Amino acid sequence: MGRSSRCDEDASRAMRAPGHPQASYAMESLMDDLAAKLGMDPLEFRKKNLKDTVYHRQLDRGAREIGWQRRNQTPGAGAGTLKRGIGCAVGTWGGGGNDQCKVDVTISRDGSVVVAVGTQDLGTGTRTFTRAIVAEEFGLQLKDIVEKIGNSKLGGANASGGSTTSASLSPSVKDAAIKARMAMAEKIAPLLGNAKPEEITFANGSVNGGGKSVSWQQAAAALPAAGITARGGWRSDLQSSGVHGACFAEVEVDTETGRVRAIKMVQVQDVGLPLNRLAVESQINGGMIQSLGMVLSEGRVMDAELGIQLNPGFGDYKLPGAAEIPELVPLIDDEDKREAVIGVGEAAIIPSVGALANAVFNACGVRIHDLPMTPDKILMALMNGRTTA
Amino acid sequence: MKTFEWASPATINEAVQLLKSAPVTSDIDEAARPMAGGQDLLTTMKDYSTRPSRVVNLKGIRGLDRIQGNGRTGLTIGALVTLSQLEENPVVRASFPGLGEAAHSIATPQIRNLGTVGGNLCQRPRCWYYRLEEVICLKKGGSECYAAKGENKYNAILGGGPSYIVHPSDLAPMLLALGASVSVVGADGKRVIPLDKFFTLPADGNIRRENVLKNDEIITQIQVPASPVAARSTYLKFKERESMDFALASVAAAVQLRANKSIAQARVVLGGVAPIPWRAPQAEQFLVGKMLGPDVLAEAARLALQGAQPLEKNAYKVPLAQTLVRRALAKAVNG
Repeated sequence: MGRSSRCDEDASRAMRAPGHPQASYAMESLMDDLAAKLGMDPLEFRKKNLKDTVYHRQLDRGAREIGWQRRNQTPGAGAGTLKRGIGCAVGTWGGGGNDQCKVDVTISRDGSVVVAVGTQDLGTGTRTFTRAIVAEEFGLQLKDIVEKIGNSKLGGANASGGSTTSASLSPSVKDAAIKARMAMAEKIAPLLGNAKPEEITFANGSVNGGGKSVSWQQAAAALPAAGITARGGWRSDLQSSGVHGACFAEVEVDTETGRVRAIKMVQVQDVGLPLNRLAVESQINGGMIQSLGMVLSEGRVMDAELGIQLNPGFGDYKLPGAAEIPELVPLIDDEDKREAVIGVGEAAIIPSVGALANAVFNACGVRIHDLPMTPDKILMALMNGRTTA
Repeated sequence: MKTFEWASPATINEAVQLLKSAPVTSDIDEAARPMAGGQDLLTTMKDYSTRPSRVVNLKGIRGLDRIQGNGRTGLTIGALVTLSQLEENPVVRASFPGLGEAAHSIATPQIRNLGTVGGNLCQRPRCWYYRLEEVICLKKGGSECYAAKGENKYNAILGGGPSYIVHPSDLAPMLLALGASVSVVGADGKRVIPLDKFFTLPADGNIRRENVLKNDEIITQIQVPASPVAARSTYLKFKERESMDFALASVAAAVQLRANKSIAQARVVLGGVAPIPWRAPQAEQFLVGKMLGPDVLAEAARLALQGAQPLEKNAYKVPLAQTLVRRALAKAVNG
């Protein structure tokens, strides 16, 4: 593995965990073949060879969720035209953040709160967690915070890549929010019987200390005319790196047409501290769906003589549509106790490619070495023997 | 897209005159084109596969958007009837179920709301060499069918040469199985063309076209006769992507059963495998008098694909289409 070939085509571009789903597909297909050769349960084979026990608990949880015992004991066994199979695979990713983000949190006398940083939201939840971290610090709700992002005049931020946006940005947001809270506490201490700033608490829209309680609005009204602005920066202790994922897929292969239909996918993923569970689950769902496209339908078709791509549009480059999406079960691995942000965007696409490929093998006993596994390849492999080049 | 004149006539005769009077061109792809739903024509114009000097909008012509008749009289379907209208029509669903299934199998709800029956029959090929602007293939006046030796997994296994396109219409195989014909109006008057004389093989007709329509002719109606096979008709389409796709292969089947459940007559037409909807007369004849069973289905499927000559990358279409023949016949007979 890991050999490049010159092919006189347009260069490939970075796409969600570049190289990882491809390598994972190859590696996990080989692991599955080894397990089959040895007559071993592919899951037990993996547990025997994976030293990191995080994988063990993730594999066990995914196995329970999908019903691993229902798989074909012998790949391709069973009568009938429609054959079901279940496969599993694991994946790893780095993630983690670095020192690039400068975040400003401003509290005005009218009680409004603005969190500002020059980052952008790729659709992966930056706006949501930026608000949420500040809201939590002040005991306010998401709707009470305004985030200003996507402007390079604001505090510097990291580029999005390598699943580092959340892990780089959120420590700085947290730092700014803590500094703003402490600055506010100092200013409003007289309102609260000159309580020590570090003993003033912010919860449920009120500010409490010195045996007294005022509303957030009353507290903010006591601030100087210009309000308060605090700038936050990098805190390495609030981020970490290194995640694990395990995916299980169930498919049904129509052995007379070559159609592979995904039935169910389960993916267990650790993410450090999940900033927003819905967003993390959506990332895992998206990873499973993109894997589905990669395994079953998406592929660049080049003409060898003309040197052009024949399917540059979404008519012939076939992304999965609504009818292709199976039941998806995204599971956050809550046994990961790290109180640190990591980033899950790319991690989520890695284990599911191998899981789907292994499910196809388990269903019909055919190992396809060439993605996508379109009906023509499956059907010809079933007719001609057990494998394709 | 190349600039074009836009004309919006109110009558069929005006439309025909507008097609006929368009600037004369030596390039057939620059001839004036009629437009109904525009779902295919506009894509060919964006790809520069067609560059019509004038586009004649048919949507303003009244009376072509109705489905009339029933199972006893046969159907008259206006050319501007949308695919949605066809799939939702209760008479079609009850008495010509295969036709409703064929309409439903096409593209997406959005496209079916705009695409018309006439337009569906007149779609241009989907072959990616034809659709790519930078490739001038045989169908576009070039000298080579690049699919013949290139990436031909979607191309023809029957009736190919010198071009190896497959006809993209899903209605065509079903309408052909039901014995339909089209009414056509042109500058030289009106004519009725049975569908089995409408589509042309590349070797027989104009290589730049897929049917016998002249540049100034418009389909106005499709007639589907009452038939003893219509009630047991079905359309089975295999798509690489179920959500939205053209057929890798499809089968329109229709049967009439005797009291003892043996087959009195059968129609089998394949889609997605040939430059025209491909009728399988040997399979049809074989089925007469037979009781359906695994051996009969297997032989009918074998006969339907007899003579198939796969290209380098589409041999899978033979067993795939055979499977579809078996399944479609079983569904037509057993419901």
